[in-house]
Amino acid sequence: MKILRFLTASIGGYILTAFMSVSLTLMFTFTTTIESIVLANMLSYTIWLLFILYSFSDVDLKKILIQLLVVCFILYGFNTYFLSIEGV
Amino acid sequence: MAREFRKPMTWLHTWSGVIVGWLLFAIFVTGTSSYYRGEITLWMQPETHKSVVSENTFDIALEKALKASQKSKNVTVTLPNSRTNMIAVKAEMQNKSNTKNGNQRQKRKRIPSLYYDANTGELITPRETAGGNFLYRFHFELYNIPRKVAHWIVGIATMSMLVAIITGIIIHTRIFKDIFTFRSKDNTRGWMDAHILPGVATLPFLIMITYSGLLLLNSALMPWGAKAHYGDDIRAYKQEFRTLYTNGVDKPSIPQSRATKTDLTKEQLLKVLYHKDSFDVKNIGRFIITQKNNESTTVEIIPKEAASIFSFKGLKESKTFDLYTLEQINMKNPPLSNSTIVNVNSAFISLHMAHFADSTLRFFFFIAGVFGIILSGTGLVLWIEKRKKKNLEKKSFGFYLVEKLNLGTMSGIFIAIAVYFIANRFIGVDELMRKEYEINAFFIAWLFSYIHAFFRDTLSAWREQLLIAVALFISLPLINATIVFDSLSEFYTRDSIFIYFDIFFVVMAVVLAFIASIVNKKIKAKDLKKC
Repeated sequence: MKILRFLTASIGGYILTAFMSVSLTLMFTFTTTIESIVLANMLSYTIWLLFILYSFSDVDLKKILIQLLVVCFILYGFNTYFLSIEGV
Repeated sequence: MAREFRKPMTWLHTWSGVIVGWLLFAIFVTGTSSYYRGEITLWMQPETHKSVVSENTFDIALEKALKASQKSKNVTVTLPNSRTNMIAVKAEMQNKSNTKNGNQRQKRKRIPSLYYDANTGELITPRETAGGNFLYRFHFELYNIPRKVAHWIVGIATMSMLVAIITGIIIHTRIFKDIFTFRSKDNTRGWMDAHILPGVATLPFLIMITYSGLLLLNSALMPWGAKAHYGDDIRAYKQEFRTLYTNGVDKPSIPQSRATKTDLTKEQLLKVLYHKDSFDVKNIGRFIITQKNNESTTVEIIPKEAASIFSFKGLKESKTFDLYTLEQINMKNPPLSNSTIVNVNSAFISLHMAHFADSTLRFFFFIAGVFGIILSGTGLVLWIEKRKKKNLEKKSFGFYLVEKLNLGTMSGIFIAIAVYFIANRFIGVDELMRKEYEINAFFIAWLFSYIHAFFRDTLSAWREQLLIAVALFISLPLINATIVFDSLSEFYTRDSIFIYFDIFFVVMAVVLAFIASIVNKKIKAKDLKKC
């Protein structure tokens, strides 16, 4: 069970963070895209860290996995939609 | 609730520390030594040791600058400072080369710096050495591993460290009290105090160094934001980042027509360097003479001591003067960007590298790094101490492996560094592959300490390896004196940088001898128990 939590925290957490960092670059409204990217990158490690801590808390692993899947799916949709609007 | 949360956090703290603990220990040792990267390289080039700053130094630097300017349009002169005892002159050449589609483009040909004795002005030809650069590169690129893979390995270890630090804070209920608690008993409690004390005392440093380390590995670990907007054209992203970073400050603030061409003479150069608006002459660390074709000659002056936390790499504060009119035409005063986010990011990177730090602050960073080494080392030993009783009842392979790896890593890396320094003195000066031989000596010594650890009783191996390390470190000043000095008086007359090295070697020997004596006591107590 600990191994599953470890995989969820590390790999799952990384995927979530990757999606989240892209979403943050789209959400921030700074003068330049670079600023959004830099800030998103800076925050991404904190997000990953928080998710690792959450994965190892006493929350049921199944619940964590479902939440992870749902959030990743929403972020994927959000990123794809807004990146297509931006024409990237 | 809080207790329920702390329990899994304790587990996470233990394992996030142990799994990558050996790598972290090596990263901390090599990374901490990187605060003196330049000094290590200097020490490993004994040809440079005789250079001492004198009253002539400034004049010699000027003469060398003028001589180099006759051949090059871009000359950088670095004066001796607290980190180097030589004058360095770098003359860049611009060659025109044809591109594939026939266009001519300016191509910069990099010429390595020439080094001169700060007292006599003699050209110094230092030996080839991997120097401090090897240790510096090892702490984030490891060795002989594809760069991206190495960045990922180091990145994962760094992230684990961050997790270990944060969970360490969570599981601690009395952080402030722990700074003043150290029970020097040879039991789990004693090791726990030895682990907690450096962790708590340098907590801000540890968080900063780990987090900024992750930011430095951004392009490998977290490229997704940039990829989403720039696709595979990461070069465009980096170019835009650089532009935002320097935010147009490099534009000359006077019209080109006002700049006047003049001959470069010593008098003119002195007028600029002693200019009332320039830095104090004693604080001039570097000056760059740029002769623009048929336009003007400018002198950019950079101080020895950086005054801003945003100063690092090529972004140090500077003042540029027109050589003929003596007018100040440009001033860089970091932060150069007006973006808060970019500045926060660069402040983190600057903090990690300590480029802005003077020698005192750099020493504090070094000491904080040493605390980091103690933290990771004691963490690994603590894992063993906590499981000793259990292992006596039922032997475990995991315990055996951790015990041996602890020994091979912790004792081994110090032996390897000492051997690396000694190899530098014994490998022939003209040897073509001397850099590689030095590095090979480092890894062979490290490998032997792992092999020795696995074939010997752990406590005895600890004692033997520590004593070997003591012998190696104590022999270093002696070997250095025998090989490098022509006479004993050179011991006192050489630059203080090298005296500090001898002091450091002796301190290392004393510390390791102290640890060896503790291990020796343990062995004796164990033998008594058996009797």
